[in-house]
Amino acid sequence: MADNLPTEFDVVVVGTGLPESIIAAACARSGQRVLHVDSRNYYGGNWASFSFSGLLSWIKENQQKADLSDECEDWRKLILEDEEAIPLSSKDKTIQHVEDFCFGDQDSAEGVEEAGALPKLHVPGALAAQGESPGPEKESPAVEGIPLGSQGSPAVEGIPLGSQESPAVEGIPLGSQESPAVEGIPLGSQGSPAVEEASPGSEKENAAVESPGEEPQSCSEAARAAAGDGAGAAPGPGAAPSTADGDSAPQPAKTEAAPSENAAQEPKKITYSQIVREGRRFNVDLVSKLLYSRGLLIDLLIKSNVSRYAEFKNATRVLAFREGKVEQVPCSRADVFNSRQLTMVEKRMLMKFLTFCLDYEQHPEEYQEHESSTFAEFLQTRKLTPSLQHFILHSIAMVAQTESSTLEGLQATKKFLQCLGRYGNTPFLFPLYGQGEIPQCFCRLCAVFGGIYCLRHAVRCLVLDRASGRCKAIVDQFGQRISANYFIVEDSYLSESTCTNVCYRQISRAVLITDQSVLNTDSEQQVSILTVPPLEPAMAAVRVIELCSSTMTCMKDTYLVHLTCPSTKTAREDLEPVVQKLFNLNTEKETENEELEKPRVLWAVYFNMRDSSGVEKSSYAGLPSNVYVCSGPDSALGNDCAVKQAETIFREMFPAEEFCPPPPNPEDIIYDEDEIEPEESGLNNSPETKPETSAEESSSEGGAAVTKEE
Amino acid sequence: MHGRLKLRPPDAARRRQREEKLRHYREAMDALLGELGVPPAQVLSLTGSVLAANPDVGTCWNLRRRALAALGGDWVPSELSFVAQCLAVNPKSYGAWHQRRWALARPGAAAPPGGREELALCERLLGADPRNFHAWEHRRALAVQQDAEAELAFAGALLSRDFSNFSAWHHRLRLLAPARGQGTGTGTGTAGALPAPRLREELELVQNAVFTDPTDQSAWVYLRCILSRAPPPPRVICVHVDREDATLAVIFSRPVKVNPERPELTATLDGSALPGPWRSAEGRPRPSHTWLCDLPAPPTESPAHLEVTWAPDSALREVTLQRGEDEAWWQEPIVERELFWPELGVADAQVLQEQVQMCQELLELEPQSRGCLLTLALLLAALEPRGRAREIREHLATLRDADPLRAGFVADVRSRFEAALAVLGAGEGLSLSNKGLTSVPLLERMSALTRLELPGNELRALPAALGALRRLTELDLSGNHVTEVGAAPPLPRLRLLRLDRNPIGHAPALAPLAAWPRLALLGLADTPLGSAPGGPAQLAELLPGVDVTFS
Repeated sequence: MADNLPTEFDVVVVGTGLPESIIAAACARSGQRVLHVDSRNYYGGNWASFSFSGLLSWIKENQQKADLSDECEDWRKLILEDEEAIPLSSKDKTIQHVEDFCFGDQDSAEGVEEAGALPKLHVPGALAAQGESPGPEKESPAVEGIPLGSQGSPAVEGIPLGSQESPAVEGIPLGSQESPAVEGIPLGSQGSPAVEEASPGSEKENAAVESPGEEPQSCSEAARAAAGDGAGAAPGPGAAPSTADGDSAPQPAKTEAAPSENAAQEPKKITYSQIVREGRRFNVDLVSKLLYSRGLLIDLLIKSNVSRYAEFKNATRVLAFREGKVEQVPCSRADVFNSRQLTMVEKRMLMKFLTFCLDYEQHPEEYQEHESSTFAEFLQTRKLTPSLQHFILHSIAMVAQTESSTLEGLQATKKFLQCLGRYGNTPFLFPLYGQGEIPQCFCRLCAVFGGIYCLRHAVRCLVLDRASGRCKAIVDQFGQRISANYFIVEDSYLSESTCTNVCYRQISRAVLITDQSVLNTDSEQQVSILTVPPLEPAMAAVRVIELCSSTMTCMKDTYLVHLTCPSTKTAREDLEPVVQKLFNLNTEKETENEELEKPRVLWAVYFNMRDSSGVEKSSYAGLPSNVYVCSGPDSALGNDCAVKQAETIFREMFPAEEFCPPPPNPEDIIYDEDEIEPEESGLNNSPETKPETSAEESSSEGGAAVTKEE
Repeated sequence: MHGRLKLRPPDAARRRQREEKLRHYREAMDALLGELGVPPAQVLSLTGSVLAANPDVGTCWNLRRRALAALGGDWVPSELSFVAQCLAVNPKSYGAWHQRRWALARPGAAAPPGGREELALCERLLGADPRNFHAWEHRRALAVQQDAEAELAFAGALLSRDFSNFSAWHHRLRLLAPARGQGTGTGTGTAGALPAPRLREELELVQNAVFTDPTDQSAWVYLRCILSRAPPPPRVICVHVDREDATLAVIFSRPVKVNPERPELTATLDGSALPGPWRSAEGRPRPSHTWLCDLPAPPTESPAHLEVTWAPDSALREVTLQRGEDEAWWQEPIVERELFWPELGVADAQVLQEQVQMCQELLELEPQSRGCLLTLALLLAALEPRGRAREIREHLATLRDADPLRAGFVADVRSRFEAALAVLGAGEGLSLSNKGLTSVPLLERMSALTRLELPGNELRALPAALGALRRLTELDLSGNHVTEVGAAPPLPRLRLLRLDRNPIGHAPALAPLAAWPRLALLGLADTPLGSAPGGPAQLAELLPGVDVTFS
């Protein structure tokens, strides 16, 4: 089928991480013909999220690191004389030191299969991307027709972006006039009907999933499929986006009944086999980030209306780790008012300092003489008690104790505070079903505007025109030459020779599945962010994000804990000391009471991920000017880096175009009567009425293949 | 460039929708109003479709009520759910809320579906907008039958979300009001105070709020309310009888209105009822501190025994005018604390002391906090007015500078404090010179005075409540900003009035003084009138019996 791909595009994007996906969406939105490929069989690259079984195979793959196939150099034949090839790497070397541990009886899990798991296709390269849905394991629940309503379930909790602070109000869509509209983005009301329409969907996913029996396709069908690739593969965020009206609320009750039976008899005793069986409940992110509610990413999601494809949950609390104990940090006005741990004077001093930080630029006299000292030292001069200093430094500003200057600290504190109250009492949002949803949401926008998607589609080389010094085409794994004006390549695809002069940092990551929260309160459903200050001066602070099951990233009665820090050694060496402080790693019952109080780790994985952010383009050897490099995930908490990079690259390519403008109202689009373009249905986001029709709904010569697969 | 979408002008779709809505509205209204006799069922469906889109069409609600009444049957539940729908469109629609109350009040709604559903509705609306005053009002009406603790918890939960919520504090106060007692007789007893543990809880809540954000006034207002109780009802604090004028004066703690037809105020002279009528000192039928009644004839030389009864608290006050005396009076002893903050009278001094400490602690951190300064000044004035007068004046001065927009209010607070302080130390005479007074409060407490000196203040007129000063013979108002006598009532015994150095420019401004029976000396030195051509002569004509000095 590969030779049925169009041979000419405006933009070719290699890699489906967040910045690439944003660029692809922006390009397609402004009318460019976009081809978006990824050699992996899932969306997101290192931004992806996996079900438990998906994660296990990802681990296996990265531990083996074996060369699957020796490089076939056939493509060299396609390079003409006046051209030069820049080969791309076929192996991903960004993940290292992967170590996983199971702290339960692993043998009992032998032969246990993930409920609803698909028989997996392992035909690398062949017939790559037909109608492959992103994250196949996760997205293809219904092979046996099990109506897993879970996808749509969190309706009540989801926060529709744009509607300011709408605490689930039982179906009454309260007018936005009530809410303190900070910005007049009427997304809540405008966007939601459309989203609602899109929700009946989980059965339809089926249609998009390639089933082995139907494999042989005639050429003409394949041709359609190729155009429809965008369609089939149009990344559907796992969440069938539905509004907060609780329509689908009854469904999860059904599906969760089974595990809860067990839980009722013996609370909080989760075995490894249960984890495997319930593996589809997990959506484990490779990167652990949160969205600042006034960060660039939220602004972009709202502006471009991509927010309609996702749902979010507020982080519910900010924690601190001090003197061996986990405590909640009062960071908003309401928190301070309600706090029982602070004395009255502390309340005042904290509020006073935070109020000052909100407009510190207006009061330079307050900090000017401390500009040369560190933020930690500055805090000491502010009549704040040690616990307050700790809260502000580590949990609110989240800056390094020994390095960060006063100004950096003030800036970080201000950013934190500005984000408060937009969607709730903490500054952070977390996307339901995991951070991995976000790149897919942008891919979906791209597909809606005609972008073509191919997963498991490797690119062998970039073709450089000697005369102009510009890149003019790519050659893919099938030896097809595809020409374009601009090329976006994710860093991990670049070959060693291109990157010889680049010096990468590393991120240390750990993911744990635990049986209880690090800080138990009356509510079990908490999304917490905790900063553990460096245990030794030379090390970095470790960021811990604990997700509960209502974020749809882990099974009931478990918590998914992400640890992140810039690497100094291997991930395990960096992070295990913190894990030991916070968690109980022993499999048997411990005698020490203290150990028993800590959450037990059921399963853990450590790995190092390459941090290619902040690399100057000039460090890459021999890249032409129309090839742009996107970096992989950075170690920061927010997503500003990726958004900034995407916007910068887009502006360099198309200085005159607007970056991700709001999509037009579907009813305002004029369709020429003569050329019957079925685009409307896609732009409408209306669901197909007949579930039995395939997901590849439409195609046109313009490459506008538009579909909904949910 | 290819692939570009062709678009209609922006918002064309929205405009079409609005046009559609308008057309629909017009059709429905034409059908409703066009011809009489639309069957009730159709009225319901027509108004329903209009109101569901816009719940603020009053006409439709009226037609709907008429139709419902005509239809009969058990329509209450369905109507309530319809109103709830409308409230979802506009949660502050007056029409919809009115309809809801009307429906709930129907006799047909014997077992009102109310109760829990109504509470849930309020909870939902308040969850979306914690300051929706309609929902608060509705809830307050319901709360009468509800579990007070649950209601307190509800208000508390909203406060913990955001404590800048006057409505929630007010709801709390109303719930606690029965425990605070709506005014009990005299000002002294401890009745009417909150139970101590409850009061402590409330005070802690306030403390949390004011330390979190001292600039937010809601908690400060709540603090002052929760410490005080409902104001005590008016009572008689002074009875005065004047032989020569043959007038009985009764002075109340708060302005009251005595109905001349059915007076609650009755008096007897030697056992026989006085015929009245009662008139206020100001001569207007408005609430007043001072009410006067003429005796039938000037009492003879024999002792005259007068009894005054105030029906609401059935208190009996007696005065006996002895032979050879010109006047006689009875006056209630002054309760120091009540003078400054009458409603605070009941609170435990220990609790008040703690609040003073709390305020002082906060003031150290926030020396400019308005709420803190005011509360502290009031608390100190109530606790130790004389011992801490200097402190109180300082706080009020800081408050005036910190809050220039309310400087007038602060000046009035200060006037009251100075007046009260003076009343406490007063004997026959009272001097309040150069105190910056903008008003003279507490005149009802000064009825025993014979001499009142107010030179060098900021007064702009003679106080209207001056009529309470039944015994006053000398009044010094020199060096103020008085321009005319105005509505001030005549003072029966006043001989000397000093208005030196006031901007009085023409004689008619002083004409009302002709009605002051005993006025003999009028000081007008350094007034524009003195130098005005013909001014003195005109004045002499107006006030023939008065000796006017211009120097």
